[in-house]
Amino acid sequence: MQTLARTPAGGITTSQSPPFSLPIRYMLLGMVGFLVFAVDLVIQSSGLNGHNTFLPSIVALTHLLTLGSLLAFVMGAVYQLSTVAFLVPIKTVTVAKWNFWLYAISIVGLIISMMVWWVMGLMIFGTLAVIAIYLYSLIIIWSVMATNLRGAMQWFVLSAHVYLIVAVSLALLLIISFMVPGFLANVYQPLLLSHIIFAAGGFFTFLAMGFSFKLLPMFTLSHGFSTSRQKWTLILLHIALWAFIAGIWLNDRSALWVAGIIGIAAFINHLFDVRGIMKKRLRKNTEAPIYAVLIAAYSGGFAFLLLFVQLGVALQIAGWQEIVTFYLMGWITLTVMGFAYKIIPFLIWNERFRKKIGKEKTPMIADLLHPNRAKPVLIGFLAGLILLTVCSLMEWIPGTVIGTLMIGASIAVFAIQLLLVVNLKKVGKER
Amino acid sequence: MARQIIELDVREMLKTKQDPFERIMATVQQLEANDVLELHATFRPEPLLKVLGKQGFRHAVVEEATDHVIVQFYKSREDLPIFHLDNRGLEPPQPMVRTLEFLDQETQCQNGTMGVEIWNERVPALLLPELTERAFEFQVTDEEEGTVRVKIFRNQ
Repeated sequence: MQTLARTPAGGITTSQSPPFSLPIRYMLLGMVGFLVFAVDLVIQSSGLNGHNTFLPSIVALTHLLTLGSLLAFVMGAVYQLSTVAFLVPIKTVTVAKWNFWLYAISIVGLIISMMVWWVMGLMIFGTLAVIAIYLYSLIIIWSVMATNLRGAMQWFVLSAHVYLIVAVSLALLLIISFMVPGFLANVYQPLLLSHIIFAAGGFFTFLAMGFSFKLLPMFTLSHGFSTSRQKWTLILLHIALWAFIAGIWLNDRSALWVAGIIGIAAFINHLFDVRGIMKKRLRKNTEAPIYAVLIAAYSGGFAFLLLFVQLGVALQIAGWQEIVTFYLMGWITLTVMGFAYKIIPFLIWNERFRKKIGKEKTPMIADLLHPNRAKPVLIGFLAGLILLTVCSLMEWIPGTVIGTLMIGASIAVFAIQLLLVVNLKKVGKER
Repeated sequence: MARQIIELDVREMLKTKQDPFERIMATVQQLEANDVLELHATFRPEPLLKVLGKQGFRHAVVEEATDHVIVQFYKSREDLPIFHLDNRGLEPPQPMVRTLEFLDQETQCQNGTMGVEIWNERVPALLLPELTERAFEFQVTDEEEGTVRVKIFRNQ
């Protein structure tokens, strides 16, 4: 038993949190984005299959999820969590706050331009969105670089943001390829795939894994677990990502096979880490949102397995749309949903009730949104995703429609639950 | 930092048959009103408990090992012995984990004969439901100086 109550005289201070209004504005945008995405998903459910990925409405729908929901929410979460995970302040809160408006306006303009396929709009709002994402990434990189804490988590987060910069730069090249015929138009397919890989496999994957090393122990009260595997997951993920890029640009199937195998290895390694964290937890009850995060990690590995099988069966990358959808939903969206169920009530409780505790009767975090209420939502989402994936592979349209409707309904309920916790009437008055 | 735990380890002096009394009293003189003296000794120092008790100090004793006893001296109006954990400066979730481990492993806390006061930099929001689940009661005091005190105890 280590009871030594050591005095941290002159020691580090962990109170570096940014003002509440910074993370919450991005997270609110993300929640509204999730709600709009859910409605759009339900509306478009009858037309969704792997064959019409390039329809403007589907492109818009995809970016409503990735940029309007996931990235917006994640940006707010990263502004909040970086200060806790790395014990550093955000370098420039003012720029981060103003950048929100640039991001929000550009994303709305960009998604509308996608829906109506207005190429000039794509160029204008795409450029603005890229500037906003560059600014965000640079603020985080600058802030995280200042930490004295060393470890794999720092490199996961830094890698994620470097890959985000690459992903959005490639997106800009894609837009240019629509306007200027020539070399870029000729390499449209590898450009598009690289954009997806750097965004989904690069940014979101590195970030989700990196922050899991902090968030899972935080929410399960775990410590004393091994961290020695983390660096190997990091290395394996980098190798997998670049093997993908090489395979796509060199049209080399063997590189894609290597990427698939190493990607599976990275997720298996990550799952061992997750298991280690869970084994050492002090919290007696594991809540539904945490189970969702665990299942999401398995889904990520399973998506790589699907890709591997796909490469073996089809001997090409065709069919990637279904796998990307599964990866985006099963791994990234489910991870964000699981952590969001824990982060939002925590953030709101901290802002509204922390100062009142001890002075008056205050609710507990679970009173704001009990984790049990997440259970049916997450089960519905997972069931819908499984149905969608299986029916897509079997090309059974009614099944894909039902699966899509289930996903849409679950995400809508998820967004409404969180918005009710935030309470829009109160949040506007908070600092 | 308005309050701190002053650590004094006299185990080596005791093992070499030296008398640590003067050193202990010199340290006691340095204590501010809210400070805690944490003494590490090889046995429960009964005479010292009485001497400092007469000076208004209460104490909480934890037996870390057969030859390692930790005694904390502090000023308080409460009768229940309180052991103090200074969690400030620890990387989250260590403040919460450290507290729960102490509560789970210390029998005096389990049977309600000793309480714990933790000093954190913020209200440990995720810890509070765990305390309720383990049938501990708590009182939170935010000192507004980067220190939040949470007194944790179990009613006997």
